[in-house]
Amino acid sequence: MSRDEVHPTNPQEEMPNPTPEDMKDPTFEAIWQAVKTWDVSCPEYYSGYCGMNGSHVKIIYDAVKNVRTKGLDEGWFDQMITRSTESQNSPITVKDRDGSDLQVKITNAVIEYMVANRFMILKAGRDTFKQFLYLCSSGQDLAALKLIYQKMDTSILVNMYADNAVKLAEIYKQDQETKAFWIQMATTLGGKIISLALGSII
Amino acid sequence: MRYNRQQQVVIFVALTLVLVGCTSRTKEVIKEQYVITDIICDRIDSDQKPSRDELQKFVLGTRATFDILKQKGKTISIDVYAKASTLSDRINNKEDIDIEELRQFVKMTRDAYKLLLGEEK
Repeated sequence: MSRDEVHPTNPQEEMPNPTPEDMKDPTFEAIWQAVKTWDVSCPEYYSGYCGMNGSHVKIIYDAVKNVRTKGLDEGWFDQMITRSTESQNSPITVKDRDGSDLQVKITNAVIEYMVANRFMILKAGRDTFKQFLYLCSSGQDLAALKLIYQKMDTSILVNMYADNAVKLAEIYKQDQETKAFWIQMATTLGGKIISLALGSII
Repeated sequence: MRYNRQQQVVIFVALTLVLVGCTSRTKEVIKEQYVITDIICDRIDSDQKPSRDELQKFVLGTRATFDILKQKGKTISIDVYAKASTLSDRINNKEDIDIEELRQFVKMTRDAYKLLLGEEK
């Protein structure tokens, strides 16, 4: 098939067009300058190859923008962790569902939970996470957990379930080791006390 | 060697902390297991149905969890424990299991956790 001989593969959906604002962005211009001589295939929209145009650049530009937005999303999380760690036990203000301000106290346990479940919390998003903090600080931890997990795919949840089973097994093993240590300690101490008592009697 | 009052108190506090720490860590994991089971249950009733593979993985995880909890002296209903054992053996033997049976099992598991946490819903 020669250049520019293309056939739409998805007649319902047209390629996106850049807006005037997009075209003013230096990133958009930089992408255009880098790729303007290329011939490209875009199977989601057409079969065959054609020269690069504004629509192709718009698709790449939007993908880059999404990565940047995700970066910013992670920023709020890191800020919240830093703020919480610095202001241990002093309450921070979050918005309730009805828009009113709520004072939330972030404990060490919640900070540990936040760090351990970074991926899940980022997926849930900032507003859900604020609700999560509120529920945690009012002692409704089951509801708080449910709020975070609600945003996850079933397959991720099932994997998480298996991970938890492994975690539980590790805790059990540690507990057994701790128990064995204390039994040994008690036996040694008990033996010493008995021998001391016998010694003092004799 | 004799322990004075202060040393006795330190030993007692250390023992108590270890016991409390172990219990709360387990409870934390059980809580999470319950929430995940609860949500998977809800998804089964909605459009986001878990696949057979996911449900089988879930059964195997449940069996492992129940075994550990039982060894820790937690009360697991005999029905759900037996069902978990039978299903996981059948999965390991590559037997064909009806998806409806798997779904019923997930629901039974949710009730078992609810009981375990003493959670009234």
